[in-house]
Amino acid sequence: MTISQADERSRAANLVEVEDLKVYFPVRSGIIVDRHVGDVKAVDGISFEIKRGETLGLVGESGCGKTTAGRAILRLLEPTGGRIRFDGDDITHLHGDELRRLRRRMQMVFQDPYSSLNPRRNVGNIVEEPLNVHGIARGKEADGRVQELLEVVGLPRNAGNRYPHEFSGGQRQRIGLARSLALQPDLIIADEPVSALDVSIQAQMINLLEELQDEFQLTYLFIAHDLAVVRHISDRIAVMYLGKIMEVAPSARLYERPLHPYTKALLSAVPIPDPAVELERERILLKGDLPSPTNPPSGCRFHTRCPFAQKKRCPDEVPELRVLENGHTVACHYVEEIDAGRITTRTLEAAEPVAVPG
Amino acid sequence: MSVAEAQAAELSLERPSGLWRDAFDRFRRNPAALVGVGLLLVLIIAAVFAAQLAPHEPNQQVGPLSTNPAGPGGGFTLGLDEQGRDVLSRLLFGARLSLLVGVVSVAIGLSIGLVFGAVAGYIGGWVDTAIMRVMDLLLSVPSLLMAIGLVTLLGRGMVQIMFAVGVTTVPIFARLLRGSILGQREADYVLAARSVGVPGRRLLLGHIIPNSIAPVIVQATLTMATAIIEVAALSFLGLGPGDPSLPEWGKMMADNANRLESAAHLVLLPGFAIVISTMGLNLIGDGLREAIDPKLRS
Amino acid sequence: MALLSVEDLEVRFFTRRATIHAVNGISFDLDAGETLGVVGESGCGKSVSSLAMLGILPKTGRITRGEVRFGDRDLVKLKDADLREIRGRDIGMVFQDPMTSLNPVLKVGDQVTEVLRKHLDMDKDGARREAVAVLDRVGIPHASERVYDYPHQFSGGMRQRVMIAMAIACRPKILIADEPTTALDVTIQAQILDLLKGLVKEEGMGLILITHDLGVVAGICERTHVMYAGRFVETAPTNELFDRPRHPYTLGLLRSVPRLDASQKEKLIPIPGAPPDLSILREGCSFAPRCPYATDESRERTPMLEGIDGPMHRVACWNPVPDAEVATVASSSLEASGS
Repeated sequence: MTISQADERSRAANLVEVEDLKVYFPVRSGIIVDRHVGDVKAVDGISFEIKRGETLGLVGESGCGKTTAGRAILRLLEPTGGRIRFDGDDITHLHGDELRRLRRRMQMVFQDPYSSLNPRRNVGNIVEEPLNVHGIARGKEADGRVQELLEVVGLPRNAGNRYPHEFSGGQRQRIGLARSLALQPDLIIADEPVSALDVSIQAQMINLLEELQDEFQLTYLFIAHDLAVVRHISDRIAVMYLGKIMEVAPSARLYERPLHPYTKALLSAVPIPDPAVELERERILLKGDLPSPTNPPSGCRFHTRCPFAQKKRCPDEVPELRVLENGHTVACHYVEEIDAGRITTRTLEAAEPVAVPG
Repeated sequence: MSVAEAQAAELSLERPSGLWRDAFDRFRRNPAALVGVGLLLVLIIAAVFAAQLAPHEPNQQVGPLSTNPAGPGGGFTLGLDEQGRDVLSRLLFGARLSLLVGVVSVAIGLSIGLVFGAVAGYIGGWVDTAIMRVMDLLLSVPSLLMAIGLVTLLGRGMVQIMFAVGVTTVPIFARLLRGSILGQREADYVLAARSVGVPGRRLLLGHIIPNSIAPVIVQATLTMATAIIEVAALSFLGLGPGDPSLPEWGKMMADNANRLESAAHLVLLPGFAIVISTMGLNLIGDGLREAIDPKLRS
Repeated sequence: MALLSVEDLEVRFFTRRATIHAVNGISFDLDAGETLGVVGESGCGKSVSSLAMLGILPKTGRITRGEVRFGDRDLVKLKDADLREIRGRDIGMVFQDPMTSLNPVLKVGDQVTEVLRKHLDMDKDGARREAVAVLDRVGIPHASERVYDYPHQFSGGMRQRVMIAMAIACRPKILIADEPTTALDVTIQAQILDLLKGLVKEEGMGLILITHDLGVVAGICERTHVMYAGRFVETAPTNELFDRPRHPYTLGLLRSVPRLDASQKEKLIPIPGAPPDLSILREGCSFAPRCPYATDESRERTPMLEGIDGPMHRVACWNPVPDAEVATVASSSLEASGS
């Protein structure tokens, strides 16, 4: 098999390919003339792919750039650099009608079930709009389609002539989902779709997303900060920190054997609803706060908070994402040493009070 | 937040049946706003039925010419003026003028202002900067001064005056709509509409503006009151409609300013009419603001 | 004797359209050095009950029954001025949103100093020194310099530390923390929870932690109350509660959250339906419409908290979840903790 054939094959398996994607937001100042004084490097050179039919989880803390990355792939933001391929086509700089045609194939689900629905339109109108815009269905036909969609997401068929504020948070999230499904997209980018919901409602929504994926062969990019939720729903997980990807791995593997120090810390910080487990867990407490993305640390972005950081390389050399065994990809100079226990945490040095189990 | 949660618990039970409907309910329960509606109704009825209500023609001489005209009471409910005309009739017909002036000049200001505001807010960039700097410039000139300048330039017809007053209100509306649009432009539901491929114009007209227009409606009511006062002020300064026979309230006051001691009713009654109509509009405007504002978009 | 003792507290909101039965008779004791968890979903009344205890309900809310005994006084009957004395001095409070709970135009040091001067009659220099000490205590680096900064110069996590500093500045006997980490990232949440744990241990405060996050409760609380529709439906030592949840709602909650350490990708079991409308107070168990174990009795008679498996574990349910059923949950978590 030639290299190009192998390339072709992986391309056919991948619905989305992101290569060195950069999204910068210019920081301007000045009263009369806007001067460009710097950039917020929200996403600073990330690469990953989403396979057809899989769920890729994108996790990280606030300000890590996960939302920006999602919106850039949807082309709701203009990428500053890099390349995005969708189903083999370069969509990085699509415009006008071509972009509008692309919109039929990828859709978004929002975090906030209150602000993501136009309060002045009724539900039927909201769900129907994509059909009208793309000239797929109008009038009676569209009404019928709307009723089907509402039923699919578990709402009463006659919900169409009511207004968003008459529904609860969970129901509104279903309305948003119905709107996203209207165009029968291939890809759905869900940005924190359950984090605004109450725990008992979260599970309903997660199950619904899983059912819809099976029913309509959907591919998901699932963006969230809640690692437990992401792990539950994702096939693979990418961990972001300050605009960079730190680690990508199949989700079971990421949990069982996190390699990047940031992933280790993140996983250890997630509380588990079980006092017995909580008592025994070893917790890696990170020092300090997230640095500003306007002026990110040099070298490895995590080195200022990393409990394993070394004086050599970490502060001045940006670690590349390296593929290790079993589809595990990590951006850390010292993964092997840390994994083998040759470098250990310096938790005792930390300024923060150290974890005392119990 | 806990306090907010408590309030949310409270809100969730007040199931409104529609955003506008809900605002209307709140408006209806606001006594001050109802007083405003009452006052405005008086103005509207006076204007619409002036011909039927007025005992005389506004310019008809029904009493003697006098430098010391009869006050209220007597044969004429609100007395006569120095040319022997019935004051009540003139006030009623004056209501027509004031209402017309208020509505037309605000309509002019609103339509121009909305276009500028929508363009600036939606397109942004240098277009926004250019438009808003011009608006700032207009706002920095006192509106009465600007109206005076425009009237001097355009002439003293009723139409010119309404136009002049209307123009002074343009920056108010442009600014307000722009700010409101900027607030809505990044809202999730707009992003959602974009992501399903709703084209730009439809996005603006179908999504953004319907959600940005509420404060503009409030402002229009308040500005109408200002417009009425401004036209009266122009007339008072001698820049009112050229036709001396028009029963404009401001002009009626100006004509009789020197008779404040001998025939106070000629000054006070038109003044009172101005106060009533502007107060009515202001009360309604405040009522609307309170009805629309309470954090519906939680 | 308990530090704080709440007896049959009932809170209602009176709005134009309806009366909301936010809290419907809750009772509990808090001892010194104890950490008490109150878990529930939004609208269950967990926040309202703490606001009520401190007399800071929104203006439509009123305590309609019950007492809150603190020392020899009943906080419900106290005058506003006396309550103000107690708030901040004897009982500290930390809210969810550190962005809006601090005054943006005052320096952080001044805000802490103000609390100290008001409640402890300290002089200016003394209060300032104490402010630095307490900010240092909650883990703010370079506290002696940072007192001159404004809230916006602090990150979310640091602001929450400042809030905690203000709440504990007067060394209160009780700290009430209402969703203190909900607005924070997980790594920062871990820092804050760690800080709270340390404070309870060293200062001997009683801590009431209000949260929706079962994981947070599991890590820090000794006793936990599960709240639903304004009532405690289950209360037990935390270990016991997670090991053998007996109320169907508690079990439902535990089954519906994905666990980071779940042994396999099992399907979540959501609780069907939605919480009840609190403007209508019905007879019967308020969870009955969503409960798989509900019977006619649960729909007709309101169950009271009663001891089950010993006096410490109490549950308000006519048909507690059978032990066999609970065991499946317990074993899966056991399996997980062993891995």
